[in-house]
Amino acid sequence: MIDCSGDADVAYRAGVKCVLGNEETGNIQPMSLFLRVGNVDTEALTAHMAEHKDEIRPFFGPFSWTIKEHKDDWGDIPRAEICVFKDIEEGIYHLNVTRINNADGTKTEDLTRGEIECLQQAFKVHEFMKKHCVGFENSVIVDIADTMGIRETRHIEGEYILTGAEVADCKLHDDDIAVMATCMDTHNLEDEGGTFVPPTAGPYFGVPYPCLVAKGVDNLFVAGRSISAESMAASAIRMMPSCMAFGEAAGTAAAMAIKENIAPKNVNTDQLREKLVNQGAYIGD
Amino acid sequence: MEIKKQVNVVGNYDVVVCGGGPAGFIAAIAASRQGAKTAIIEEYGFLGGMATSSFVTPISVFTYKGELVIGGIPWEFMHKLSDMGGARIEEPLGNVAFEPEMYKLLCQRYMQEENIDMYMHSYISDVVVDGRCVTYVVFENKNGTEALSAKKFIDCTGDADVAYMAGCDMQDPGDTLQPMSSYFILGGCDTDSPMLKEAMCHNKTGENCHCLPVREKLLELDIGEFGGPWFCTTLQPGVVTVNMTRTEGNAIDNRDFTKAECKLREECFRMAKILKDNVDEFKDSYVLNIATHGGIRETRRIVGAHTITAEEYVGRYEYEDSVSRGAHPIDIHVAHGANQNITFLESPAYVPYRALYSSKFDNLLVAGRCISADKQAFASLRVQASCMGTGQAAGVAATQDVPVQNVDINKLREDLKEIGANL
Repeated sequence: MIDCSGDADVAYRAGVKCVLGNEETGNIQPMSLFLRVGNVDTEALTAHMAEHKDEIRPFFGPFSWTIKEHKDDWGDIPRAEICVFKDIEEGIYHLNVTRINNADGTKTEDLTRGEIECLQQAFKVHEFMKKHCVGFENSVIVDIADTMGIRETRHIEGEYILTGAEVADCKLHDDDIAVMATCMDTHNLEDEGGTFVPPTAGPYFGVPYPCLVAKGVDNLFVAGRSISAESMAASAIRMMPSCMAFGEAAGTAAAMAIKENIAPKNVNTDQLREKLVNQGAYIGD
Repeated sequence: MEIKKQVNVVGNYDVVVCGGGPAGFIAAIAASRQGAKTAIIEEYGFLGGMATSSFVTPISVFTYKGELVIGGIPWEFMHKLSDMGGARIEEPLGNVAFEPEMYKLLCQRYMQEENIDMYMHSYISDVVVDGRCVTYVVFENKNGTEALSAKKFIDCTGDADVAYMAGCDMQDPGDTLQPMSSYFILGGCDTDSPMLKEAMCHNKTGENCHCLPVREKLLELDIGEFGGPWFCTTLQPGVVTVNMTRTEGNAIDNRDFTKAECKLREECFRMAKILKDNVDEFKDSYVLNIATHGGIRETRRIVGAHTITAEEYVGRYEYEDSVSRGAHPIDIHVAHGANQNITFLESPAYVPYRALYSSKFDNLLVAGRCISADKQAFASLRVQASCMGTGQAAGVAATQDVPVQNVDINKLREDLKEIGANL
């Protein structure tokens, strides 16, 4: 079985030890509901961003200056920036801005509360942007995501736990099944800030195979954001391309384990790595 | 395989509404406004059902030849949505084009204002019965397996899932089910073109509102199975919703439904390209969205205390226990090919209260497309406005503290008339 539920639902119910959120603080990263906004004046927006590029910092990025200036209008939306991402189609942007703090993605009541709150925020944000944000004066909401994006819930205890220190040091392992150069990106529980640690010690850090192998169950892999990692390390491996890489590694390893009739933890990682490279994966030089 | 598990009963209500689509959320509002402590269980993180998860638009049909057919809470909702800038009510036919995101927003606001407890991201998986009583509805969500108890349950699942799992008899499905369709939404369309403008206004009584010029062109091209096409607006400039994909399939057979979703998704892209390549108004268009959930026309219907027949329906038989009406034509999409059989009603038909419950249970009501009707009557009653109408009736009926078959019909009809329902 490969648990790609994102919340390690299968692993959790199979009895695998899991940590919910940060192992020290209990902080669970907030959820966000994306929206798409269209009819944006892309020229004006691009120029505006260029003008303010020195003001852009992690968690206090695009339009943080606008939000500060119009704090009353912004109200109590617990976010200090409006992250804008280009759609394939001209004039449409995906916004990462809504946020629900103090919510646990493994609790239905929190998910319900979050969906309701975030949908309200989406409309409120758009109203704000029409009034105050350069380029968005005549914009329209194209659509709002079906469901909130979850950043963090459970982290399984696997055969190896990736640490924040290893990620910070850009450590590589003999049994890495993926490498990445993503930043440790943690949103705070109580306020709009966060922690942002880019990999500076090297070109990338590695994620070793045993992080995908659930401890205590003989036939279970986990792939995706809930692999075996400390919360800070997990904040750097939770992005979609990484999850896809883990999925490929788990799927490939699962087939190997079945062919050789062995437990996942006994898969030969040299052979696995060779297979992955032959499949086109990049696992470092 | 047998599983034994602990189920947490997480709430006890006067009324539990199963499903948050057109019938469901209206039923919940109706029940709550009568004073019932109400809950609603919904599989997605938003309400609206076919309107918001499948973009089925326009919402048919609220008026008929100038006469309001579905009044009360549904009509109030449409006007509120229109006031928000999220709906356009087409006169005189009473079809309503809407913007899905504002629809979702208004639904949840109603739930909050009416103090209706929402259980989102929850999939109804089982039912517990005790004699003639449905005691619990069981559902799966991130918490695990949970259940709610209630005095009355209203099955607004569209597929009569609760009624089915409880053991109610279902209508004979016949040889074929009406096909499924997935809407897709295009941006970059020339919505100023007279042809599109006309096609997106579904306001002509007695006419099938498909876009004839495009249909004729598509038939020439021999593109395989398709419906309509029906175009509609989300009120955004340059945006057109398209209903033309079609596939046979049984949405209550999971393997079938999975196959159908995949096929419909392919068809959406294929049809979008055909429109782009062959119709001037779409030459700069692009796919904005494809329905999250395949559009379902037909699955199960209960065998109720009374089954509405085509004769009764088309003959506008006025039952003593009429609690809702319908004005949409009897609308049967043929599973194979590009055809559709339509019978227009001379005047609005009636829905009897006895079509909203099975004789097997004292505390279970059904509303929406799965009420007790034969295949023809159903083909008119399945549309969203009618579903809202029966949802309203079921919601009010559920608040009478007697077995469903002992409801005081006169009081029910009076209560419905008082809130504006058209009987």
